[in-house]
Amino acid sequence: MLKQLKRMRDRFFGTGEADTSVPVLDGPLKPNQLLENAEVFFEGPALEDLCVAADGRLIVASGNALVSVSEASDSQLLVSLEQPIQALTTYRDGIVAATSGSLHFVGGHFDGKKHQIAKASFAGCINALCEHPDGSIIISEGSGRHPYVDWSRDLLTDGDSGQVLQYHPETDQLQLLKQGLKYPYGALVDEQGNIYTSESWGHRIIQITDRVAYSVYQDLPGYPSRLIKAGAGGYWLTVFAPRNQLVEFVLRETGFKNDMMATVDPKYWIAPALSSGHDFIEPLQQGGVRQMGQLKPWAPARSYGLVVRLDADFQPLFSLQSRVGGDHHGVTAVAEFQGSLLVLSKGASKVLRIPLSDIQ
Amino acid sequence: MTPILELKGITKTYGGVPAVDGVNFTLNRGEVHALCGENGAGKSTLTKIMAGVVEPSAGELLLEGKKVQFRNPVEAQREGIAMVFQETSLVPTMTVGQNLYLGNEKFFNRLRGLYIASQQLLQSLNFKVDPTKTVSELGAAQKQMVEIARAVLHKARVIIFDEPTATLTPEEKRYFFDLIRKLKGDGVSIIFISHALEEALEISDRITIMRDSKLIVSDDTVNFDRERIIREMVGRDLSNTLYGKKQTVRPAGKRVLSVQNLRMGTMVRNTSFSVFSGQITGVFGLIGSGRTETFKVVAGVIKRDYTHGGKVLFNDRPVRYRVPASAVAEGIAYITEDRKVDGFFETMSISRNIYAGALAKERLGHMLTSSSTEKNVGQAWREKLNIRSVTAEANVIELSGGNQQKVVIAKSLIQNPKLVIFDEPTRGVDVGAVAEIHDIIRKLADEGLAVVMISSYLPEIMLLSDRILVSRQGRIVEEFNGLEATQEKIMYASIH
Repeated sequence: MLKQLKRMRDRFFGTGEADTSVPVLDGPLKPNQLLENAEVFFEGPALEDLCVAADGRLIVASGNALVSVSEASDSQLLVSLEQPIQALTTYRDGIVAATSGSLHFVGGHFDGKKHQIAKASFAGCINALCEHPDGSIIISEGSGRHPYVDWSRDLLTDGDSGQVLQYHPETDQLQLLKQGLKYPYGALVDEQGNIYTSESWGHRIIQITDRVAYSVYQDLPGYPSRLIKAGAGGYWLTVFAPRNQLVEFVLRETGFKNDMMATVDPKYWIAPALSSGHDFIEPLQQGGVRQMGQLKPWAPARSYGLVVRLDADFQPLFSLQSRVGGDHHGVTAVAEFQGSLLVLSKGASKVLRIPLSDIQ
Repeated sequence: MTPILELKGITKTYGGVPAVDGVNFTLNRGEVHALCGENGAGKSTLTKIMAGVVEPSAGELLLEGKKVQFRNPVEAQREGIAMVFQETSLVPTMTVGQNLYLGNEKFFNRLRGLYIASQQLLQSLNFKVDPTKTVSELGAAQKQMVEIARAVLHKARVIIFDEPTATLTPEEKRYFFDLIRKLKGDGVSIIFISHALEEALEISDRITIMRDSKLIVSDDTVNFDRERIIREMVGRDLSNTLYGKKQTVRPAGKRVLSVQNLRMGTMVRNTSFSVFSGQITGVFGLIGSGRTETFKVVAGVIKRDYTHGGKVLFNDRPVRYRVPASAVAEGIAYITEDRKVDGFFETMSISRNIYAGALAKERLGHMLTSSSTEKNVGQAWREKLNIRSVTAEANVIELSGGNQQKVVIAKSLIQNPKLVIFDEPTRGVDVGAVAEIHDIIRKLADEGLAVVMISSYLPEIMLLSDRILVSRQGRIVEEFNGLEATQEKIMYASIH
């Protein structure tokens, strides 16, 4: 009863839950064009994730295929799986790739091993993997209700069915570390063995200890995704889309969003997108604050590429961005490779290269 | 040619201590004469002697070669000497029109006619002030404009301006300088006291510099540059400290303050920005751009809109302060731009003022005050911030502007804040104290505090700020890195 009254009050006054305010991209997150101006290192269909193998090769997940990419951008097919690859990580001297229902070991000690994940409320939404120093694999499963490709439906249905799991290849044991998360999208283990994930719909990075989640960085101005350790200490975080007030407003309008999901083609939903500008019927893609012929710097953009460099305490140091009108949007993965930062723009289906010496 | 005003051996002592010591000064007809010096150098006392506010202890005053003695400002005004004070002398409960014609009333007064005449006068001076408004409703800049208009109305032969441009916007300053040139063209002699040295260099024909109650030098403006003025004023070279180029910026620490879509009436309109620890965030904007109001909302001095007023997160926690005490208790210190009104208790001692700051932080914790703690606290902060006074028990009103400002700063810093907001920290402060206040601000950021500095003075913003936010029409519209910012870029963002 009190909760209902509070909700009514909030809706009337635009406070609390009904407040659609979003934090601004400023300070270390100040907009720039570093990603947009970055060199295109590799292009391929349906690029999803990348990692650097123990032998120094760059491995990229492209649709169903795992390809090895050399410095000269030449690619070589390693393996083709039955389903599209959703996440990738190095594991000892090999690679582990996740499809919607299973983990595939490519190369190394467990070469050829396939583990079918069988558990209740599993929708196959594995979106990130990470090797734990104890030999297990940390799995981030965004949603227990919707498949990976249907992530925007999970957002619009206030998804909080995400889980973080730990899989032991030696024993095939699957352990639940934390459930009830708002779309965990990323898995990271630090030197001390602490486990972190980014909670996309919670706009934060959390540490999971004894089934309890602690925020280490919260109220991000976008939807965070995968995390990796940076060679020089600290971390790299990808943010696949910025938050905006229109989406925040729609998320609070239950009737409207249910109607929208029932009657409108998903590509026209008012929801974050990995790329935009393909169709004039798409809802307002960018803030479009244009004055005196110039697109103003504070114009919000719905489609955005954003990579954030975090320090050891998960505080942002600087960011790389692709802005309104750009193309290199929907960034979901990064890797450090031969003195460069490789950024996977899922929206543009490209891998971009920026020398670390230019940005550190 | 006989100077219009001449001072010979003027001395004024208070309790045996000279405020002005044997000054010889001349003002020529149709001349703009800048009077520069640190706070406490004796400029104000000297000009008050000219305007009949203060009687000299020794020396003589010659008006057009004739010896005169003014016992009060009315006598000086009758002789054509008017003074526009730094602290306005307007009656706050009366309208602008009534203030303009105060003392010149006829037996029967028609308000309508008075307002029409006032409107014509204000328009001729390009001052956008409504003559029917009561003075208490006006901002500091508009009050200053009314003061200037009153001096012009009284057809003064000598007008003394004490810090006339401190509260004016750059555009208003331009109008004001045009007005000075016009008055000069009409043969009016002007004495212009200003801490903004480039203004003195731009507008004056001659510059006189005072230091330690004495006249140090009086020379044609062409013979001066900024460095020489500073050197003569403080007796040492400060130009690099005050106006040197910024070489490095501090990296952003933790986000301490996140303001999202903040709204407050028509002054703050959906503004969003963040403030980080370990950095000085400079906020620049023209008067009326909403910069002060935005931070007053953050500090609980004024309230944001109740409906759809946006969100303020302090250390990642949503806050809505209804009174400043709540903000102080959580670690937000707002150091006001108007120290004389909001900054201190002028009849209380330095110690008591600083101790009052500590008591404000404790809220109901201190039902009993301790005079020994008060003394110790006052003494400690007096030494820490180098507040110059005979003792810590001196009343704040007796201090110079720079030392008063240091008291206001100490009063806030004793609260051990996490976020310190300085609003015009060096307004009406002499150059020596400016350097000291700048050092205090830098030290706070070096200690890891989040520091916000609101200033209308671009060189100050550019010298101190690690990042610069520009406010326009109630919003933060642009952000610059401290190294990439230029005066042109900042000014462009604040206007367009």
